[in-house]
Amino acid sequence: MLKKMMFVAALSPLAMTAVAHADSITVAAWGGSYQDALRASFFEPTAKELGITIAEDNLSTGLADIRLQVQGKSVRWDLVDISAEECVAGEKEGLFEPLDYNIVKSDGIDKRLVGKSWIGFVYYSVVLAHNTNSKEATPKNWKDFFDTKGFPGRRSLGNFPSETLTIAAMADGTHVDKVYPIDLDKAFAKLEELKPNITAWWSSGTQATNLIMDNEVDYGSSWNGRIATLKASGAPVDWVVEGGVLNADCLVIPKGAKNKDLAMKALARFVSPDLQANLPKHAANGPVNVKAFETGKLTREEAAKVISSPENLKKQVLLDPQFWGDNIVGIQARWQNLVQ
Amino acid sequence: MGNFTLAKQDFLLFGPAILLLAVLCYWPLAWVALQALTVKGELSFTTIATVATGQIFWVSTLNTIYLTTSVVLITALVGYPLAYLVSQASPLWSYTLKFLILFPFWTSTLVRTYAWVVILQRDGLLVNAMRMVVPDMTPVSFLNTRAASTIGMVHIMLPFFVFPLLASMESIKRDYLRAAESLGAKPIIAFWTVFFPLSLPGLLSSVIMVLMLSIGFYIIPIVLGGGKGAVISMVIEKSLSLYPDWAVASSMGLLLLLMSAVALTILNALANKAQSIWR
Repeated sequence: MLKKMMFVAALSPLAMTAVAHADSITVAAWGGSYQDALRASFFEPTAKELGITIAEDNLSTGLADIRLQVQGKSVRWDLVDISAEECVAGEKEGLFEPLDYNIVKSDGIDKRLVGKSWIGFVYYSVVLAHNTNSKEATPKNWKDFFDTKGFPGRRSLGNFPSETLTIAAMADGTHVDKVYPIDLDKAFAKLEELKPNITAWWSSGTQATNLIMDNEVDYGSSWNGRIATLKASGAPVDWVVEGGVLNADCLVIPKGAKNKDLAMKALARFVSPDLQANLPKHAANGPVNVKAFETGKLTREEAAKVISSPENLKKQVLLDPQFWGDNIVGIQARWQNLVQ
Repeated sequence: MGNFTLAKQDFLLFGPAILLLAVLCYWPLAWVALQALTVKGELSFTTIATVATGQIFWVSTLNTIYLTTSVVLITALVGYPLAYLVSQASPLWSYTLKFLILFPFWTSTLVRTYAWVVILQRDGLLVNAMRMVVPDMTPVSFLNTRAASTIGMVHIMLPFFVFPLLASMESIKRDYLRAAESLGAKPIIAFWTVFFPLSLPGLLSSVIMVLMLSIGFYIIPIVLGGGKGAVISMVIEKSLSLYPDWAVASSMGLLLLLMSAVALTILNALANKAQSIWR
């Protein structure tokens, strides 16, 4: 009896892998309403077009998930959505399959978001938001935000060095085009100065918006999608697009993916202008491919509201994944000391 | 313990548990140690030495010790009288109180933690309640502080503290106290000279329980602490995604385990000493 049970137990992992057919790929993303939007915009149209099944899974920590699968030689995912910084880091580690740019067309995508083994996918932005019931004067830009005399209110910023140091680089009104390469010493000094006025360093999108909505702080940084949704639902919040830190998620095919050829075809569709143009209908995230705005799928009014419309791109700064891929490890200790 | 021998059939009884631990605990732990102590397949203490001498590790370790110690102390101050009350109550009351202590235990930690956000924040329930007494009070926030993390954790830990202690208190016969009183001790003297020493082993096992659970806490300091005073679990999590291999995170994990083991050994020795009063 025991032997029989052990035999079944030994077989069960095989049984699980057998589910993945040749005409199916598994895509992993961040779950929740974000993944619902990806499904409607990209997964379903692509599955239909290519006649394949797109199975889905959720990431738990991001790059570390892929690292575990690649190093453990049990790659379950064919296509994964992670942050652009992680893409740069993962490429250095050789965790991804190189992309075939004969199949994947990258025109319309910012060159800084096109790597050898990764490509930009969707945009979101870290914007300056505030509580409209606050008695304090409203900061209009990051320069105001760092002016504690003119704006003595309570503040919050993300506990993420790349986003928050990019914001700090705009503390004395630096134009969005001149932010990179960031003068890190100066940016750290600005944050050190502001620190006594920081109530919280948030670590999730919900926390960022709740801090502002619940009047725990008067103003702070927040992901554009969540704050826009809250505003639309009538919460006492507002935000400005000027000075937003545009951040990209990117797509990769983990090294050793079982269906990498099919994944390459699906990836090519995901970044194509016509499917990219679907995204704003389902989420506050923006297309990474500017050609999406030329497809005619979005009206002028609709396009103007998209965080990555050509007009809005000019007002924001792109978080340079290469810069952070090169610098993040070195500044982590400084960052920890700052937020203590 | 010394003359404890095992019969063959005993292995059948605890074999499954050992097997489970071996697969789910010892083997992964060995893997973690391997990650921490090897570089390209060779034994090396470079990573663990770098981590152990790094500022991040010590700052977060001190934060963790500070938080854990305050949680243990406050839980003990709240939990001991509570357990005493339950142990001395009539059966009906004792049952009711136990139910009330356990009740929040069945609600998820995350839900209870977010409930504290609602209570402690600037326009939260606590401030509103205080306004009933002082109407023109300036709004203050208790959220996003170390104190908030401590309060949230004490709430979660209380049942873990009360129940082991209660089990030992309930085994203390009331006759001992009556005997002390009939020999002329006032109730307070009887409590301190008879009851308290007898409850010490239970108290220490409760302390150990809460200490061990608190060291690895992650969600509560994140949600209630406002990102300030990072504890070691947060730093380990960051290291996992930051570095291309698992060596740094594994080293931190290993060092944390080592420190926990030291704390546990000391507390166990104390508990054994306290236990000797029963013999």
